[in-house]
Amino acid sequence: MNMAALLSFLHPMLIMIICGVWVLAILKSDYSAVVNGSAGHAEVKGENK
Amino acid sequence: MAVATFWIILILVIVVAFMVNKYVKSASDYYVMGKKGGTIGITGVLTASYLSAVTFVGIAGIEYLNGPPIFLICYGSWIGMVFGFLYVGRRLRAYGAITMPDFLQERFGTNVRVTATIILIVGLLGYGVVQLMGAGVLLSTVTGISYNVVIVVFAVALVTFCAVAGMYSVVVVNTLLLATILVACFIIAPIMIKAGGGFEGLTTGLMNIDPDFWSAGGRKYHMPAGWTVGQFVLWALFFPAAPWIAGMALPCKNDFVVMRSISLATLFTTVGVVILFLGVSAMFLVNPNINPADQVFIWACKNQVHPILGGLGIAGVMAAILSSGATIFMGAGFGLSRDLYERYIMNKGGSLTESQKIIYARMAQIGVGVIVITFALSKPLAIYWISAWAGALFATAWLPTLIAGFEFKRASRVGVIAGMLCGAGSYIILYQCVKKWKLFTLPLGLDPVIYAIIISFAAIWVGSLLVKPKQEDMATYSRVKGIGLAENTLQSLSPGEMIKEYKMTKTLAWTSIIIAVVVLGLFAIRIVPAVSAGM
Repeated sequence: MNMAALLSFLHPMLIMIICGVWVLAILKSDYSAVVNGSAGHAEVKGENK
Repeated sequence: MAVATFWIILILVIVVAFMVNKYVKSASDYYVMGKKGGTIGITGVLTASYLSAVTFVGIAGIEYLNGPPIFLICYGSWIGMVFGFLYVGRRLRAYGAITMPDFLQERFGTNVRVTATIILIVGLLGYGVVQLMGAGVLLSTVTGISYNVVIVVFAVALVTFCAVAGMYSVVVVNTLLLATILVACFIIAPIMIKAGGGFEGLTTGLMNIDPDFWSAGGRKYHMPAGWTVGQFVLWALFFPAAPWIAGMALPCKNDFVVMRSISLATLFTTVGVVILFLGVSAMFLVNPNINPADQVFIWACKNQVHPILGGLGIAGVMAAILSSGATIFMGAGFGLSRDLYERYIMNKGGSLTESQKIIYARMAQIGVGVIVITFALSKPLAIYWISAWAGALFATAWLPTLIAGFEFKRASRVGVIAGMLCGAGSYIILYQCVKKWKLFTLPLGLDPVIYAIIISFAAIWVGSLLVKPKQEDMATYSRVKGIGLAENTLQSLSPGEMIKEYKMTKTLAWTSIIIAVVVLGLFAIRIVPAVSAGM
């Protein structure tokens, strides 16, 4: 296996994965509680209507 | 075609700058676009700033001669950009900084801010001027216009569009220029690959000429593993502290724009650069005698594609030079006007009106332009010395300082200044001794930047032990540490807006990951087994 060739494509792929996962982690840790809470209130409101 | 492209691009950027000038009403508008930057604009400026003459000219030439892996493996600037935006940029935004030195003023006071700003300006000018000089030689060759005229005209265009509307024009112009850069990477580079015989050419074709085309050290240079590691570390640690990367988080409208912009910019730069480097490597099969090698992409634009497409490709190279130069020189100008002059007036108890701040900011941009033109035309010997280590100043002086500011409560002012001076000083000394005068080699053949960064962190620690931090600095640390990075955004958006932004950002993150895995995975599947056969 030509490791240099493999790394040439694995490296940029991993960087994109790291970036994407980091963004998803930020969304989960900083925003999901607020967003899920807001979404919950919206659903209740809809049912009441 | 090349001459027409040259003038069209320059006139376009100046016209656009004057058009967006009407939005600049305050210093905040000038320095950070009034924090109104949307996803498309910030993605544009980040991607265009990242892709510079270094990518399209210098490294493209090295790839052409050596094959794809030599820089694809050690391109640490990718992770550096991600780290710069999501770690450094988010924190600077949350702490209310308008420029990078703003944070250091808040955290450590005037002396640290002044020292850091001087290093910033020297680093920016050194890094930027030599890029401009290289671009001047290239464009002079391509267009037939004399070097001096190219330099003056280019620098005047850069200064004009930076001075007129600051960050507003830099973001808008760079986003427009990005279109040509994307044409270069995603349309012209694939045509180059096809001209070289497609995947068959890239694999069997190159391997038949020399199997080292697919080696880590390259066919021509045979660089050792220590060099590869050193290059990766240098770029990975330089980019997080580079103002034209981390500083682009400051104009973002909210945290979601930061996250979407870095997702898109990372997708464009990873996939785009891979395709570009495969394309220039394929050109060796078409013409192995391109000289100088760094003109390989220009040669391909002139000889391998339709003239209109070729013109757009050359425009893409010019756009890459112009966009990076703009954000670099804009940063130097901001350092002069806001971080040195405005702060000096404030410390004296004075104040400036918004109009005065904008006037002085424009004057600083013009001053930077004059310095740049003077150096680029006179080519003093010192500029080559400065440029050799200018980029590393951000890794060895700025990055340890920023990390100490964010994470190290007991970092003292004396410690941080010691860190900056020891980091920068040790790098310069090691660079000269090891690379220029070849007096000795470093263990493992690693780049001097690695050792200089270690020395910088050590100096911060020792200096902070010897001279304790002030109570007010530790209180500032506790206060900023307590600020949630999402706080501003959570307070500024309604629940409905929050849900919409959240979903859009999450979808874009997943989409970017999937596209990169699929495209780069396909390249790997087609290429890796073919170049591994017979090993």
